[in-house]
Amino acid sequence: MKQSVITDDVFQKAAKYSHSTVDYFGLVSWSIITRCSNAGKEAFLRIARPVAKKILDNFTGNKQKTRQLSRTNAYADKRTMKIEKRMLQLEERLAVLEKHGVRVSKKGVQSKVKKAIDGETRAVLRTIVEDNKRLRTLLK
Amino acid sequence: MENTRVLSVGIDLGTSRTVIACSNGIRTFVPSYVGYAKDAVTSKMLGSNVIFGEKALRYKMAVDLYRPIKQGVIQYSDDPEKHKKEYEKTISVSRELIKHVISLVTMDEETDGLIVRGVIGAPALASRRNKNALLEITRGIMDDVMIVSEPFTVAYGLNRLYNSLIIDIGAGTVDLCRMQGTIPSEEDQITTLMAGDHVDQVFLNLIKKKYKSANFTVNMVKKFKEENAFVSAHGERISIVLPVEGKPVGHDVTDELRKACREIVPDIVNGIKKLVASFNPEFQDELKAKIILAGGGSQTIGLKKEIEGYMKKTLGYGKVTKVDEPLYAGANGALMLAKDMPDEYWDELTSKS
Repeated sequence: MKQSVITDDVFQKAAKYSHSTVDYFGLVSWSIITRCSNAGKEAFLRIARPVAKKILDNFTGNKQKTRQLSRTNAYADKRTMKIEKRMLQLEERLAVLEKHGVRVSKKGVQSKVKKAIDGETRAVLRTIVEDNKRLRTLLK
Repeated sequence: MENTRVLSVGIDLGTSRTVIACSNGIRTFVPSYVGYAKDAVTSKMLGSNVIFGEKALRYKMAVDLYRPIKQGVIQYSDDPEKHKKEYEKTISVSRELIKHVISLVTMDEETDGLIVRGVIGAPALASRRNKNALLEITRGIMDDVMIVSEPFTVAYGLNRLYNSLIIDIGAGTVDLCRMQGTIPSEEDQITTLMAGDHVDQVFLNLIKKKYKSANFTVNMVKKFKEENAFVSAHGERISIVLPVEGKPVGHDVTDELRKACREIVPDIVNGIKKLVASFNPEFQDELKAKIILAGGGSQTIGLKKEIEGYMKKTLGYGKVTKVDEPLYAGANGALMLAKDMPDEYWDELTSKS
């Protein structure tokens, strides 16, 4: 009887030790993993955070603009105002051009070849010249 | 001679505006005002000793302001001996104005070898002295100049040289001129001084009489008249905003403006009657169908109908047409004349001067 009790204790102790060992190794492994990850976390975040920010900025911007468009049309209003302002500037410029004469072309307009004039028009022009010649004669 | 280039210009030297049209495509106008800086401070502020047009009017308190053209001609040119000093000053002012308008159209041109030839419009019945003054002011500024009757330049530009009657309503004069295919003689032309400036003065007096507390100048009422002139009996009421003790107040001036604008009508219709009645009876009907209104005053609302109504009553029939560009009609016609004029004709003139 005594022999069987001793055997039971040994087995029980062996089982307990085994469980403790596994538990311990589990804790050690977890500890190692946690420590390792903690050690690399800071460095990883330092590198990854700005990269992620740059990538996500575009989405954030789009989200904001889309929200403005859908809620208040502020973005569209701003653009329309810019176009209106530009149109006003163009209209003012056009008014200045109209006021001070519109340039058709810069050079080469003065043709050397005169347009043909009929006999009657030539006679009228002749009379104008004679009239002006008389005027100059009297001026002397 | 190989490197010479000819630039033709047409100039309508008006009492109110000087209009220029150039063969390089530029055309523009300047109100016929010249301002001389009163002192060095003004000169520095304006950036120049002499300013023109709108700018001269805007700074009129800071400059000695001149309006060299009166009743369509250079002031004092009727009797230069009597007003020698004033005449000389007016000539000098007019020269500055001509120089300025020429510079506006030639600013982008190479001046080397450039010959500027121009035709200047003169009122229908301008005297020889008036025309001589015009030649005087262009001397040294333009190379070749011809003086031509203003209504004729309008008719030439519109290609209405035969059996038509041009009515050029300006600020200083109203010129009526019938065209018979040649240069109009004295019998073909009537000039009346009941023109835009007269309307301005009458309008000013009528407003002064009605609204004694309002403050305004002739330039203010002139601008208003140019935008709203009418003679018709019906239409909307119009009001002008004038300051009363510094506060802008609207004043109804419908009747006053109509009355002032109607002032020029009797002389015009009498002139038409006279010119039609003394025309060859064979072509009177054709003449009555070709009445052409030009000049700034032609834009008066209802004037065309008023004249047609009068012609129907007294002459049996009348058809009046307004030119498309009343401001440029004279200068455009003068430019056409300058361009059409054969080179040998210009040369004849050069050898004469």
